[in-house]
Amino acid sequence: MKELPQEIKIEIKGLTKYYGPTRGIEDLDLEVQTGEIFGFLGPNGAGKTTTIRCMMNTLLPTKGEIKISGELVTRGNPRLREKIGYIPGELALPEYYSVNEFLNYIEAMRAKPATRRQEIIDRFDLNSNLRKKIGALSKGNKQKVGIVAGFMNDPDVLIMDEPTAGLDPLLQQVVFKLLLESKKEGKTLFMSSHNLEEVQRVCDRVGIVNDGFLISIEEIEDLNKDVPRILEARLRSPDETRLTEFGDRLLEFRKHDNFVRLLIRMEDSIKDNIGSLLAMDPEELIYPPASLEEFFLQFYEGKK
Amino acid sequence: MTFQFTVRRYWLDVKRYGIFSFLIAIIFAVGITFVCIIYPGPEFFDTFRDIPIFQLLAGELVDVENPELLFWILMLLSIFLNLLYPVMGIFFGSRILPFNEKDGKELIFSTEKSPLTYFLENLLLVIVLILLVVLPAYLVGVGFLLTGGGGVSSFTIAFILPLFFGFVVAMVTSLGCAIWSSTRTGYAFGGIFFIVSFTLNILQQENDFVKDINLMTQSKAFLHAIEGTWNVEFILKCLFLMMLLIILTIFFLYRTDYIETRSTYQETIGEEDKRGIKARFSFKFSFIRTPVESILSRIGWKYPAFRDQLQSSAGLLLIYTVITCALLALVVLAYPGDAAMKELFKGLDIIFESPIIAAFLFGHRLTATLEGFLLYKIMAFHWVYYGPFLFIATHSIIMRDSNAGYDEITWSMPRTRTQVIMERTIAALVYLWIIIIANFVALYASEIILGTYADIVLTDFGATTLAFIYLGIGYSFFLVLFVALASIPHPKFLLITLIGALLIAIFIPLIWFMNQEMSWLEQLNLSWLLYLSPFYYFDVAGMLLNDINLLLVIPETFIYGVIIIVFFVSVVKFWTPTRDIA
Repeated sequence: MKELPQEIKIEIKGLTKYYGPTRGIEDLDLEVQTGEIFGFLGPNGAGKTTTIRCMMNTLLPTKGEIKISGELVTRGNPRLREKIGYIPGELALPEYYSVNEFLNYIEAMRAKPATRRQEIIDRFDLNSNLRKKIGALSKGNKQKVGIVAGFMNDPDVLIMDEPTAGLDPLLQQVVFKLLLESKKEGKTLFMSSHNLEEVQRVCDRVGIVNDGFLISIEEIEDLNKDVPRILEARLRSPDETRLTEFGDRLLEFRKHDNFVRLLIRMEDSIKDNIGSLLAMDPEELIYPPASLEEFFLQFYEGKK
Repeated sequence: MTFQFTVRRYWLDVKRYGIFSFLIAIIFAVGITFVCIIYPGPEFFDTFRDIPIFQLLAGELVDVENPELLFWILMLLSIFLNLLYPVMGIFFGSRILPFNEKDGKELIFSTEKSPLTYFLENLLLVIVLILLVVLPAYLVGVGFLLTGGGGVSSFTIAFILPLFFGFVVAMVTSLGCAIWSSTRTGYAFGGIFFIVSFTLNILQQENDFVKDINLMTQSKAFLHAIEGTWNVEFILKCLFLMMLLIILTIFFLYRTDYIETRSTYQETIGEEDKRGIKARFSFKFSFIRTPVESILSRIGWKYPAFRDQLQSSAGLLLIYTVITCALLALVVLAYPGDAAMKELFKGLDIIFESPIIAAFLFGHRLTATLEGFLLYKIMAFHWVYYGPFLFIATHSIIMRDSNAGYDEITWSMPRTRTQVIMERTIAALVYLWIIIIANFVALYASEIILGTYADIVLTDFGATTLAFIYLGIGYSFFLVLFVALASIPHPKFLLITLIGALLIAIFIPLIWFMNQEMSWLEQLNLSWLLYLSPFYYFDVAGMLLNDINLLLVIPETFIYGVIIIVFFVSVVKFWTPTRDIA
């Protein structure tokens, strides 16, 4: 049984990276605690990959510092990188290697046997592909190889740039399980993602970034509370004069053949809105769980 | 509207392939200029006619009496075009129907344009591109002929006829692409057609149709052009064949996938069979394979970046080694003997007095020996073909292609940048030694075949090769470091910088040697530029011709090597940790 890792925090202070005149990320401050899964969300070009590459020391910050486990990553300390597993975004693997050869290469670069190699290969059902050249693999299979390479040495910190890209829902479940298990073992995980549902499912906190700036850091539970939820009601023949009660909270009013569909934003407690709706004798009320996506979209709309 | 879109797409494609086409056009035009400048006069041919390799390439042209400038151009052109037209055909043919996923053809095939329209448009584009490539060369040839004795109409005929062969090769390549939806299959089809055609040429087939569709056609076309006996029959045969190939291509185009299917499926199906075949044959080589694999795996475990660098360009190394060995062997096999060489040298005065040759030989005069012959044929141009390989081998030490993002994984591993870069550097040196050793073997094997073993002084060859290699390594490292220091992670910029610096390194001494009498560099107070050129310090022609002792060269190259490595290591150690590398 592996010993639980010591205090492994990720601390980013005032991180700024410019590519010439172009801004990558500006004045980013955040801390990821030991045993936490931190999600990093933002649209394309927001600065997620720049941040991750700075964390991996392949990009040098223009300003600011990044510490992992109390050590500065900008020093390029190889001993520090022994503790880190990395899954890059837009994963490209050397096509001249077979899967086995590539994993051997990673193992040799880390100069120690990968304790979880076979276990993770089994989980992702990669055994039949081990002898194949990476160039002959499908996109999803290449992603699996990248994940195996990131996890197989059982690192204490995992930094992942969209780790589930290209995987089918079943394999995404395998990744989620792996992430949650790692968290239970006390590891620190940092992941960027476009898939809002996966962030909701696995992350403890989420940092929202746009146009190179960190907009907000939220607990996932708080997000669920804060996100204005949307109620869908289907009515046979609504009294249209009563609809004015909802004001600008009425997002959609659409007539179908047999019913009318309403979408209403629930800003306050549901009790405050439901009375008027029930009075209209609804056939169906749908109140889905809050989605981070709604928050995300609304968040950016608010910023525009 | 449709026309506008088509023109716009054409423009994009011309831009895309423009650099390649422009380079070929320049090489072609420079080639013809070179051929015209070094015209040695009719007496030259008497000596050259007896050399077997020359007979093979120039075909029946070697038998022509009283050769003039036109004939001289056509004869050398026929040798050049034998290679150029098929290669052009294969390249452009594969562009007619590119099926590679990376080319984004999935998007094009999903538009409302029918595959047939797409195919015909591209066919037209390829024809235009090929014509654009040959036009400058044609104009240069016409220019020389107008000032040096006419024959323009014959030259025009000789120039146009073999183009049809190029188009046929292009169509064969395109057919190959269509049959298996694979650009690689297209290359294979075009390549095999070229090889078969070359073999038929050697076999001297009597069948008329076969004769016209093989490489001999080109020298035949020249002969007809000179004698005025050409007719449209040859063009008609080529057109017939092209039409047939176009129809077949269209037939297959509507029966295949539009995207290359990366062989994933086929590999899964054939996996068992493959393993069976491997198992059947592996025992024969196990006595070599097992220890080699064991050594490689030990090296790979201890120095993974070293092994990775070796493996990453292994295919390229193999192709490159085979080409250089074949080139060397061909030159040795084409050596006409000492006596004939003396005769040849008498007739070649005009050539050797030309400024271009003087530049390539760094101001030296050739001797009528095999060393002189080698120098003239290969060694003086060694750096021209070592250059690209050295750059390919070394530029990937620090930065690989941005698409090969897996370098990001390498840099995230618990190894210092210095460790990784040093391992890769040593691998690049190993590459160069593999080429040297292979060249030695090819050289001596050829000599043994000729029965002139030990004619070449081993040490001379070794000294010059070493010198060239150190030059190349020095330059490559310097350029790689320049790019690393400048913190420019853009591979295209890197490549342009490398090529630009190479050209400067090459052209400064060439211009100097061409213009030594005028010394315009001195007049402009620019003679210090010469000191920047490695050729100033490594006079390879001098080494080979003056029989310089290896014992003198080794310390020099050693010191040079040490300086490079110390400089390299210091920069890697102190500068690269502070630079972006992704």
